[in-house]
Amino acid sequence: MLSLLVFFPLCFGLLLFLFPQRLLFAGALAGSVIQFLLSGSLYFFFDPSSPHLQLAEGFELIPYFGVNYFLALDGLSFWYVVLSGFLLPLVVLFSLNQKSPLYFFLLFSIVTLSNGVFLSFDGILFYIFFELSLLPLFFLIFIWGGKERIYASFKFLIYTFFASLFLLAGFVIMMLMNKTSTGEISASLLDFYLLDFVFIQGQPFSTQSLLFFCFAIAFAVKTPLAPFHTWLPLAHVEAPTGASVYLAAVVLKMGTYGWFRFVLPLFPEASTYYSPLLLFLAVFSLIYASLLAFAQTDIKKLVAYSSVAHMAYVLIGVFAFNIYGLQGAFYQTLTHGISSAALFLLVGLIYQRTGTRELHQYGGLSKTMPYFAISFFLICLSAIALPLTGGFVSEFLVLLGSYLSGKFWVWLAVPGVVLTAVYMLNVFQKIFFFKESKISKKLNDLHWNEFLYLGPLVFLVFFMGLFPNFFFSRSKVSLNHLSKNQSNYSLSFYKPESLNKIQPEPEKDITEEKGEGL
Amino acid sequence: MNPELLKDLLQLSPLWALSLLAFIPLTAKVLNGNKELKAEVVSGIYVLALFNSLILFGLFGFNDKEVLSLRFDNYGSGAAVLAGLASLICLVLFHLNSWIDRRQLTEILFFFCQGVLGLYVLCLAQDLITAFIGLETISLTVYINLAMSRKDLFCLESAIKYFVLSALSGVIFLYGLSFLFGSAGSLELDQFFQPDNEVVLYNRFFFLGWALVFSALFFKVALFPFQFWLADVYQGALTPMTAFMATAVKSSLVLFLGRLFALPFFEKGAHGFVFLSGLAVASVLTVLFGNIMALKQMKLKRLAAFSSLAHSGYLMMALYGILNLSGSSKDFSAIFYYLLAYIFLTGALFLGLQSLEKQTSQPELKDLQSLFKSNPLLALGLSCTLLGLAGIPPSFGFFAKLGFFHPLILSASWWILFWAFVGSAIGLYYYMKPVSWMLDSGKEKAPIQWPKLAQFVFLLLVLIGLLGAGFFGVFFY
Repeated sequence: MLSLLVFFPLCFGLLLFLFPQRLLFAGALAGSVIQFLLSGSLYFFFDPSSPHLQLAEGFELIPYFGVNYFLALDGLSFWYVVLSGFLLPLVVLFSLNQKSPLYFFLLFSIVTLSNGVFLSFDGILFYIFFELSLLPLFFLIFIWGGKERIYASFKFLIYTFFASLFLLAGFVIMMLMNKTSTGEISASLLDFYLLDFVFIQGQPFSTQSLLFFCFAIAFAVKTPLAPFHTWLPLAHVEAPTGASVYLAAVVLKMGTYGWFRFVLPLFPEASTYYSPLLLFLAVFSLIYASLLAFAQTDIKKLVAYSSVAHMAYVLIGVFAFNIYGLQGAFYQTLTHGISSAALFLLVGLIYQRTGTRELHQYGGLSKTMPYFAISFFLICLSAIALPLTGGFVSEFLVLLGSYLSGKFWVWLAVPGVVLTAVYMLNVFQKIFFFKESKISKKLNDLHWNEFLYLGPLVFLVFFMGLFPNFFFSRSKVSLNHLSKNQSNYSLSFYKPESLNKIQPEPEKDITEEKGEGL
Repeated sequence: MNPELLKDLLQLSPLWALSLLAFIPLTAKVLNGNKELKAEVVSGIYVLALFNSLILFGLFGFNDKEVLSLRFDNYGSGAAVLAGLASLICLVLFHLNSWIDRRQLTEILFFFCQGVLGLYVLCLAQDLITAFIGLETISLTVYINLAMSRKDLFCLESAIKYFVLSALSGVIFLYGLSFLFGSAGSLELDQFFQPDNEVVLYNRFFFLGWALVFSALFFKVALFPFQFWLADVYQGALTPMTAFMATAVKSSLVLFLGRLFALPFFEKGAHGFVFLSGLAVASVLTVLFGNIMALKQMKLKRLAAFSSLAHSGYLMMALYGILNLSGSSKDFSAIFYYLLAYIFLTGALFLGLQSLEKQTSQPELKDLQSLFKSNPLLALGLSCTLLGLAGIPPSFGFFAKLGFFHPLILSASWWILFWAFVGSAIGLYYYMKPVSWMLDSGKEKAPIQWPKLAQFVFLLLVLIGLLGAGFFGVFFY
């Protein structure tokens, strides 16, 4: 089941090369819908009441390196897989005029690789998918990119490749430790969780700190956290819209997923000890990216910086070390997945018509493109995190979590919320109101395919704001398990009839809590 | 007949069989009135001769016996088999090359096979003089082949450069041997390096001798301060010769260096750490130099030359890591595994470059333009090879890198590891640059015609370079 989910898009992408030109779009759309249905069907196979590994499958790949093919699903990875499947048809719909099968193949292969990242429970397998996911994005940016595509694609590739080498070193260190403790070389995450890493305060080269930094560097670059974010705006600006959507909505999530899956459970002491450092970087990155976003005149770059700012909330939530922070951070990744994908699609849509992303060239669009204006506004609301939208729930929980954790200086992040509103509303005002510019006069409103891909996103923005429990119900147990057992985290295989299943603690309804908070 | 002698003869059969079989086409040519036989026949016989020697190694090589100061242990015979395998690939490259001087194919391949014999001797040597004989055999045949294989100024330039500098390094090696012999009284690796020997531990001439020997060997491998000849020689040489020097010669030299450094002297001797730290510095600088110099190269063979320089740096880093482990846990399998991946990938790279040479003798980056349109197979294969060399998973190159991390991590050589990261991040740039040129759409070019055999061998090498990781590890781990 999971292998199908991982490899179906890749195989289908290869198949697309055989399609005749006029059937290419239809074929890609069909394939993407199938993939979406496949990933959506996980909803019925997945038992949300257990934090343990479900639907596991695997075999030995390279025994002497301890590398196994090992896929499994749990509450942390469930929504990411669904998200990457959900976005595929939307992106294909956007690419209505795309004539190249290679483009679709690369898009489909990103889904394969991201699913591989989210589902693999073997360190080296994870790394293989993690690293390979750079290549399709590199090619997408390189072939279909803008003016500075060569610089942007190479910077993206080398920056992230260099950072992820540390991850590889971290995995190898843990594999060798596993060999000394059990005699078996193994890269399985379940074995990693059982390892005991010595932590010595103030010694960055002691085992746990060293490993912590190896992982933190790789994920901080991928997340991205300022000052390691410089590859991101460039890559976003030059990338074609489809690649931008996947880069923001799925590839960045590989970074945030890493904090949940590896850093917190594997290195509890080190992450507590070094949390001020990361929180500082996160707060800095939030304020800094927001200010930068305000200064941009290129809309796409603005959205890219807003991505950086939103990802900073994830870090603030993760390093609050309580269930609210974790849930908020987790939910932030999902809402950001939806809202940033929508924003990039919107920017791409208007760029297709006008050929420019310069803010000054627009004006008065609300008259010629009312539907576009409405959808842009609604998505903006989610990015600003207004109540009723998904963004609100997540940012509220993050701030609540950091309040409860007692680190009050983290509240420096609060102005970030206001800054988001400032730059988002500013860009909205400049595009849609004021005097009609030359460009704006002759534009058509949304086409059928544009309605088709914007509709679900706008719907989801509000659905996520109103019914967060629909999403939390799938991952709550896993997050609870993580926040409670952080110092001795372990996972095992899921057994449906097993008696010692961990019972989910009865929890207050989160939508209710929101009311109290206000 | 003396049964002992017969046993020894059998033991040595991989060497003499290769040497004798190599004489067959040469004799046939002489008897034929100095006219070339059919190229297929000639190359076929040489391929058989090499293949035969590999099989004989498989039969007799791994029984840990010593004959005439050649020891057939796992390490030595493994190194010899690696060298033979690389030479086999190069032999195919010779056969497929379009610039080679066809009137002298037999002679070229004859010298080539004698060079492989030299490699075997070097790999198996238990005695520095024997090693010297092996080294000189290789050098001699390489001088001749560099100059003879093609009538072209570049080739002559590279032959002269290599001849002058390599002869000098040979002399330095010999000079070093004289100091070693003078201070220790023997050149046998096993006997004169007793860890408790006063002379061995504190004698300065002994130290000087080693310094000279290592300078000479570093020169032959082209490690950092002695790397300047490499790019010119590699670029000018006929591509199969470049491949031969970059794979077969390099692998046996690296493994020979490993054998020398593994001697107890370097672990326990008073001056041992000097050499080990020298190795560390040289390896890091080689990696950086190779990678940085490769960034700006426009000629593909020069780029390949610097990339191979960087890879010898990585190999030396792994060697340093292994040497820093305590005696019993020294395990050279990481180096063997890395070399195997490197040999296949480099073989594929040079075969691909060679097929580009149909149009120009010195292919440049811009010759790759729109290769994906004109020759999709070649372009795809070359891209995979380059990504494999860069160590992108899940290629063989990646798993080689994974194996290479083990000794460095076990010996806690964090700084070396860090520089290896920097090197491979830089490396990714120049490995991706040709790929980006291939994707670039320029004006349509006529597709390159290349023979079926070349396509088959190329695909085979690329496939092994991509997916061979699982299979070949069985031999080393």
